[in-house]
Order: sequence, then structure tokens, then C-alpha cells
Amino acid sequence: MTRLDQEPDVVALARELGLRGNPVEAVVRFCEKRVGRWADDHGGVETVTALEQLVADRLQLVFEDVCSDGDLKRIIAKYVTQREGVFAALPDKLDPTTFGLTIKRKHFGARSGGKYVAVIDCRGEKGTRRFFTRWHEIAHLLVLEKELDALVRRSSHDPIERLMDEIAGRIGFYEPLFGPVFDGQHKRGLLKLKTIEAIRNAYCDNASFQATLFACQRRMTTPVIYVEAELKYKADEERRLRSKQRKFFSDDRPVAKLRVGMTVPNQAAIDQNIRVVQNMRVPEESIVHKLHTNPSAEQASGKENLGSWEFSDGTSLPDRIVWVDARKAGDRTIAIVQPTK
Amino acid sequence: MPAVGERIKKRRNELGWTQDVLAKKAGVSKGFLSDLENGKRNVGADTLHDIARALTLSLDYLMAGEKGETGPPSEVQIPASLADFAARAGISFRQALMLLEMQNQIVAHRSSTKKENLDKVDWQKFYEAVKDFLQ
Repeated sequence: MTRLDQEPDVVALARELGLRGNPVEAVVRFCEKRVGRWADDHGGVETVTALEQLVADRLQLVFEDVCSDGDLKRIIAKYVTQREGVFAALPDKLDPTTFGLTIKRKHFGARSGGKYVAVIDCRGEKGTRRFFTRWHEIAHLLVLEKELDALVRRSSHDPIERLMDEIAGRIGFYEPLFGPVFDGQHKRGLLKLKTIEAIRNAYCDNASFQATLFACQRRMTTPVIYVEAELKYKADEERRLRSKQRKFFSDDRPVAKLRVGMTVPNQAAIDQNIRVVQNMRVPEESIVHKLHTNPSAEQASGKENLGSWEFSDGTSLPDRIVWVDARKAGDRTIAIVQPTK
Repeated sequence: MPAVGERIKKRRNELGWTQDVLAKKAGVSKGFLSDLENGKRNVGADTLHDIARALTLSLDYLMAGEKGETGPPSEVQIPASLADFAARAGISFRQALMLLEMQNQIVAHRSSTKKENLDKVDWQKFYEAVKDFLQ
């Protein structure tokens, strides 16, 4: 059982759906089954775009992509003229941290479109999350209306939102469509970033690289750990920096170092207890560190010993030779780490 | 599962729908629906959910006969922050209800910021944006 399985909201949702067993897996399977049944009734689907359309139709959901401020104005005008005043609040609701929201319409009918409108903010960097945000909004509608009625604004920290991400990751990479693409590109052995890129291009080039990476990672039966490294402070340094009472002299001001900002193991890595720990320092001899500090390189790969990754207290991860495939992503460096045989 | 079937049939009759109509709306076959209503078939949670959605009933009600439709509750709870704002801005109770109803139309919200509930909504900003529609 994961921590998410023990979250009261997640347990309650599974119970409301009449599901038993591991709550996260049960809710995800419930959604997969619904989508699978709709796809079967439809005589199958050939692309993820067709699947998205089918599922949206069944949920009476219409998507509106906001790619520019002009798009936003057009969408607001379109719906307020249909007496949906809440759309007038979109400029405020779509703040810089919001990727999308779904509105239940008060006035809808055969001529005026769906019961739900998912407004997806694709402006600027948010555009890279378009694919996943659409499936995330679908995930909300796939579970009970009751859950929706109780829904308030939630963030990616909220257990239900994390569950929706889990559903989106599974349904957006629908196994009958994604499985053959994955198997066609990845024959055997270690997963590579360039293979993930090829899978993304073949499956759906609207999907983000990270979402595709997680889908590939989930499908691997051997351990794969995703690592995202960025310049960060130690937790207690961060606290001190935030403290309004503490003033720093120039010589004791903490220095940000390359640390693990996010790490996600797949099930095989969890089962074999192979891990990298969030916020631990990335050692200078690591491929990830060398790449991050080399301004002329965009990617790097090779073998290294995880035993060189140390904690602040001087202890380190167990010795294990791993293959690291890394690339730069903005101000971060992302990598997949896999044990070699 | 006769009780479930009875509840489906009762609600379908209340709505004046034939089995054909409900079967189409819920995406199941008419034969399956007929068997279900007559207690001859079991039903999975996902299918039952589709039927509940078509009948605008809660899954709880269909499964256990508890609670009612998924429609609005008879007693509306106004968040304290909205009540405060309404008093300060001098807006009517009816307008405050409409404001709450509009806010509740936003049923899903994907954000990277910390959790926010109805009491954290900036009602002033929301009111300014939608006040022309509070008639």
C-alpha cells in the first residue's frame, strides 16, 4: 500500500464507488474499465486523440484550449452570451499556477454543446502540460458526480488530485494503444531517453516528454528511477532563509547546491528497494552533476556507483552500479537511473 | 440484486422513460437493463455509475437506497468568508447565493499551488468579475 492509498479522501472515494481492495488501484481500474467499455462499444479506437474525443463525448465534456489572451476573450464571450456568467471570472481563475479548470454549465442543450467545459490554459510554458491536463480533467469526470459536487479548488498536493494524476497517467496512455507503441520502440534492456522521445512521437506528440517518460517507466518490469536535479538548499537552510528573524552575514549565507528536486521510482524499483532520496545532494562525480555544470552539453549517459550519493549526515546510498541517462530541461537536469546487471 | 433493479425501475418510471431510453442514455443494452430491473443480473460499479448518472441519482442511493438525488441540498451552507464579504459589500442574500452557485460550477481545478477551499476564495475579485450576471 502506498501513502496515497491511506489518504482518507482516497479511501472514501473508493468506498463511495463501491470498490474494494487497494483504493488507488481499484479507482484507476474502475476508470480504465469504463473507458475500455466505451471503446469496445464504439468498435475500438485507433489513436489517443480519437479516444479522448470518445471519452469526452460520453462525459458530455467540451474542451476549450486557451493559447492566447485573444482565445480567452473569445471563450468568455462565447459562454457569457449563453448565460454562463462564471466564465467572466476566467482571467482571474486562470492564474499563473493554474493549468486548467472544468466548469459545469447551468444552461446547456443539444445545440449549445456539453454539460461540462474544460478550459485548458496552454499559454506560455503551460502548453507543455496540455495533454496531461486534459486527461486530468477527464479523470475528475470519470469518478462520481458526488465527488465533483464536493469539490473545491485543489492543488497538486491534494490526495484526490494526485489520484486524478494517477488516473490521467493510465487512461491518457491507454494500454491497448500505448502498449503496442511501447513494445515497437523498446525491444528489451535499459530504457533510454531517446527511446522515450521516439515513443512520444509515435504515440502522441502532444503528450509531454515527462508524462510519456512516466508511462514508459510504469510499463518497465525492471527498476527505473526518475530523478530531477536542481539547485536547492538543505531543508534546514531553506527554513533559516525563510525565517524573518534570522539575518545572515555574507560568510555564513547558505549556498544552493545541486540536489534531487523530485524522484519517482517505478514498482520494480520499490520492490527491490532501489531508491534515490528527495533533496539529497547530487555528487560532483555523478553524470547528472557533470552535465548540469557543463554549459556546452545537453545530454550525457554512462555508468556510476549510487554509493557515491551521500546524505548530509555522511551516510550514503548502498553501493550499486547504475546506468544514468540524463538531459537538461530548462534550469533542471532530468535523468533515469537503472541498475546494470 | 432485486433492490437495485427496483430502484432503477422506479426512477425510470418517474422520469417517464422506456427501457430503450435509459439503456441508450446509460450506454447499456436493453436486455441487460431489463434483466437488471428484474433482479436477474448483477452489475459492476462502473455500469451502475453510468446508470446512476443517467438517472441523476447518487450511486449510494442506487446501491443502498440511502440518500436522494444528486440535486442541490435543501439547506445551502454559505461559507463564512462569503457571508463576511456579502455584509461588507452590501449585496443581497440572493446575490450571495448566486455567487456561491457560480463558484460551485467550477468543479475541477488543476493547480500547482496549495490547497484552497471555498473560504479562501477571493469573493471580492469573483464578484467584480461576474456582477453583471447576478440578475
